[in-house]
Amino acid sequence: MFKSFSFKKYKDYLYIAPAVIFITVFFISSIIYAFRLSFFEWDGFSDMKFVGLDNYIKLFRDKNFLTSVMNTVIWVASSLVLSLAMPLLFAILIIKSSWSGGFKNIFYFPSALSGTVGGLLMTSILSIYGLPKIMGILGFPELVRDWLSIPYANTFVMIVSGIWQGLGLNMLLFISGLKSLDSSPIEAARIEGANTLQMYTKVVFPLMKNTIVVVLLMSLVNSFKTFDNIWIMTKGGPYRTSETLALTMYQESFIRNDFGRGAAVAIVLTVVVVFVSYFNIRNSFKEE
Amino acid sequence: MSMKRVTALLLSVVVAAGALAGCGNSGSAGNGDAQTENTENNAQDAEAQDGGSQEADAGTDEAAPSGGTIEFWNDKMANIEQASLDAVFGTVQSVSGYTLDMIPYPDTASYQTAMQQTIRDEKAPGLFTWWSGSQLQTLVENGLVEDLTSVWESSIYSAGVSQGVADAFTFDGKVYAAPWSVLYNVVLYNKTVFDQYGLKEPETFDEFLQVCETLKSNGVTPIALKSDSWAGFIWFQALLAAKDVELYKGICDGSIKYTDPRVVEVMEVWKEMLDKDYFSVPIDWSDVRPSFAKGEVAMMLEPHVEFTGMKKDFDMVEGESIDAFVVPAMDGGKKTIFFEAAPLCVSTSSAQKEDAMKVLESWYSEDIQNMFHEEFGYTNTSKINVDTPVVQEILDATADADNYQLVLRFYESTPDKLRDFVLDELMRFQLKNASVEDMLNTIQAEADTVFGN
Amino acid sequence: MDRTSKKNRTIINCVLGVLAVVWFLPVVFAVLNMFKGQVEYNMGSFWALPEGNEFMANVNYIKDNAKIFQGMLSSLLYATCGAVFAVILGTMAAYAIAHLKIRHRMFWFMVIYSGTIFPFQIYLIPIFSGYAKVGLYDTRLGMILFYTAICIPFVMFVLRNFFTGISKEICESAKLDGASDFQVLVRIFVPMARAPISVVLLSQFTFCWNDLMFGLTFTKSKEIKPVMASLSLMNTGHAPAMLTACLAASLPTILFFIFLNKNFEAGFAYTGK
Repeated sequence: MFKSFSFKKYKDYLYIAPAVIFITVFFISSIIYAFRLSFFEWDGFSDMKFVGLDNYIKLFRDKNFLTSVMNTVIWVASSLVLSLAMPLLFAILIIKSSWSGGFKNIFYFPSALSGTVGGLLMTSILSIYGLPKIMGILGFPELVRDWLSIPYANTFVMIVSGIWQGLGLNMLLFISGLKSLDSSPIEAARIEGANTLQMYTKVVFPLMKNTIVVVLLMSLVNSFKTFDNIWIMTKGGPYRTSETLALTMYQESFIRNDFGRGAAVAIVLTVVVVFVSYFNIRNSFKEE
Repeated sequence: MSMKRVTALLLSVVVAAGALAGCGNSGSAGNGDAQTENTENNAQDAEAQDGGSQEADAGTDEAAPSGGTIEFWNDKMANIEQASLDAVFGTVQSVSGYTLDMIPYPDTASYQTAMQQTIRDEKAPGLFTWWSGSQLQTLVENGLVEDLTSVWESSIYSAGVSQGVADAFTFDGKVYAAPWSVLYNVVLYNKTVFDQYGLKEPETFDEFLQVCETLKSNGVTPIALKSDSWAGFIWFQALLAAKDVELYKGICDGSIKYTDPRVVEVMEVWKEMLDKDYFSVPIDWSDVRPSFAKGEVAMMLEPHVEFTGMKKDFDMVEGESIDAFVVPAMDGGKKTIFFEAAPLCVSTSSAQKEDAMKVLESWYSEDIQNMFHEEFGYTNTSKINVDTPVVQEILDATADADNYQLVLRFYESTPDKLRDFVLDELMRFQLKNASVEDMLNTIQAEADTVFGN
Repeated sequence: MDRTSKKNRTIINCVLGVLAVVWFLPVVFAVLNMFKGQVEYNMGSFWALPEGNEFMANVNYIKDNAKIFQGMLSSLLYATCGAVFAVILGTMAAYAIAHLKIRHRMFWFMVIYSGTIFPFQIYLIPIFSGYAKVGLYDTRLGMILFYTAICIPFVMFVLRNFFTGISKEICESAKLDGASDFQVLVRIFVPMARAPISVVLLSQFTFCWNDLMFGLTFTKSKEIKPVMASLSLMNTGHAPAMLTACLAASLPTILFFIFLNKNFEAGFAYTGK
């Protein structure tokens, strides 16, 4: 990699060295470990038994795994709307409002609370004695039941309730992105008589491309890995209908003690995320 | 302005580095124990960096004797208050002379990871709780837990722990665990609601159905189902055993097929009860409890320690507003009480092994077990003082072999590979997304591969 | 940007106002429920007003039952060090990938970025076993190193995208004036990136502070356990005390947000061209 070892050439690498070392030692080593584990059968205590591709083959024949893939796709697709479009819309509205500081604080506030508080509040609100009861009073008696135990529908309930805590950070990134925009192209567009929609699609969003790419990619990756929200609210149930890949991985490894299979799920998940991120990242490097 | 920021940044780095160095060298906790531990770890750290090996680590450890303290790792502590723990372990200390250092693990993944990585080391905890059934078997097969048969013979059987509990922990004739808790599953009912409609504890299965019908017609949901993914088997086992306990046992060990006509018959009974809305839809446990306490649901099939929980969290008093009965048999014969027992193990590699065995010898003494009962509601031995007649009644029933039989619950009685599959199917059935035929055929197909038919 | 008509602005204010109420309502109820007793909470409605004032009883309950304060001190150390170190290392890496002459930038980017790609649960076993071997298990240093590592990718990612938006001419003119690469980073890039650096600092501090899984797994002693791990040991049946404890434990992240608040909107004068 280094053609000569003169300090000058070597020096620039010193800037990335600590980060690369940290990541390699902690995370890349872990994924290599998981990769190896995915070819073994292991209950955590007995000797590992090499089984080749067995874990993967069984996985793709398991209908629970397929449900889990489906749910993950749903989470990822909704995150595009809820983690990208909504925070962006909120950011734009907040900047245009007359009380931007206050609104920003209120909408960020839940993100500062821990997931435990959020989970506790959301389970209270979604329990029969919370929102469902209010729905009953409002004249929808069929809604008075535990929403989180309705197979398949509960995924959407969790996605919507996740907005409350999930909006803040992305909104903050967008606000700081919007505030730091260069105003001259916008002025120019205005003089040319662009309407509001054109202004955003043609001028503001392209200028904010960097911020949008960051938020988009982080939201994508995080939604692929969604775990905490679901674990707190349904643990993937009932009968594994609300599991996502991260939950399936956890279930197989730590609850069912099939660590090889859990590792196989992790590897599948990783490959998909790497694939998706690679193209996004390549684009952002090409344009430089 | 920018200079100020750079200074601030540098300052914070210095502060952070200082803190880091501080905790690396001497431990900033000012607590004696933490200090030794940190220096010890630090020493190992340095040795590891110098290419020092495991032997060096062992040396450091021997220098620090355990001094009558036993580490006790426990994953079954949710819903238990610190004050209760202090009371129980205080008694353990005064009776046995050993101090227990309890390390709670509220999360399964953390617990699994920590145990896996530590259990072969001499730093493994002397005592730890585990799961019975296949998970205990794994530890036994790998020689990781001590044979406790001698402790059972010297002090556990004599304290009045039933043979059934020992059997649940027995592999190849040796008992590998002592009971942390022994829980009996009974139907808890809201007595206020029962009294309101003039209902009595049912003695026969028909009376039981009658009770459900009366409640239903008065707008009370008779029985609560909880939605936890493992909870699907609760009424499955109860109804099978109400029909015939041998049928239940045959299902567990694979000698009777899920598609057996008698199983179908029981499931049809269950289906009818579900269709008549004798059961709630499966709901979250956090909703089951208030529904029960408010009398919107009248019954739930739960471990008897839930008396303690309902008293603490909902002010329900045993015998006044809450009581219990055992599901009657369909043919009027012996009633079945299902039990579950959480194992308490001693790890073979632990440096504290000997001490842990000694503590277990006094663990089942009356003083300690009375404390367990008082604080947690556990009734592990027959010699404890129970001041509530309701609980005493349950204990008497478990000892009354003429009218009751004590059976290990489904969760630990069937191979775990099949179990998880069955639980999912049962939950699907209870949510009315599968017919009886559908469910039993699907399960049997899986059972064929697991039992190798 | 600020030429919104009066009518539009009123509409926006109203919409946001309604949403803000919805957003804040759960917090209001959380606070109200802190004043309820255990049985009152369990038997009553979540929406009902408290009947008496059990707040002090709940506080005392927490004092007796949870080691929150000690956990908060530990977490303060881990989250501050973790976030600050990660910001330093991440900024350096971002700067190098965006502006310095290194080869295979995208490869290095992917290496660092990969830290966020893998599902977090796979880290538990390998890192635990590594930590046990080198003696970092159940130590403060171990926690700080881990949190630093896990925060680096996000910092690098956000800042690299920000830095690529800064024009090369600025660097070049600074270098003509005799500034070294490091001086360009510290004197020009970092001040310009005040807003994104504040955002990543806040988000990573909050992440470390709120982490439960790793804190629970890589520690054992009460003295080392971070705050969320201590909280998770509380009796979940006592919801009012739990809410009180959780909100108390969230105060530092809220304070930190307020402390950094001004910086989030700090624009910069010389960008874009």
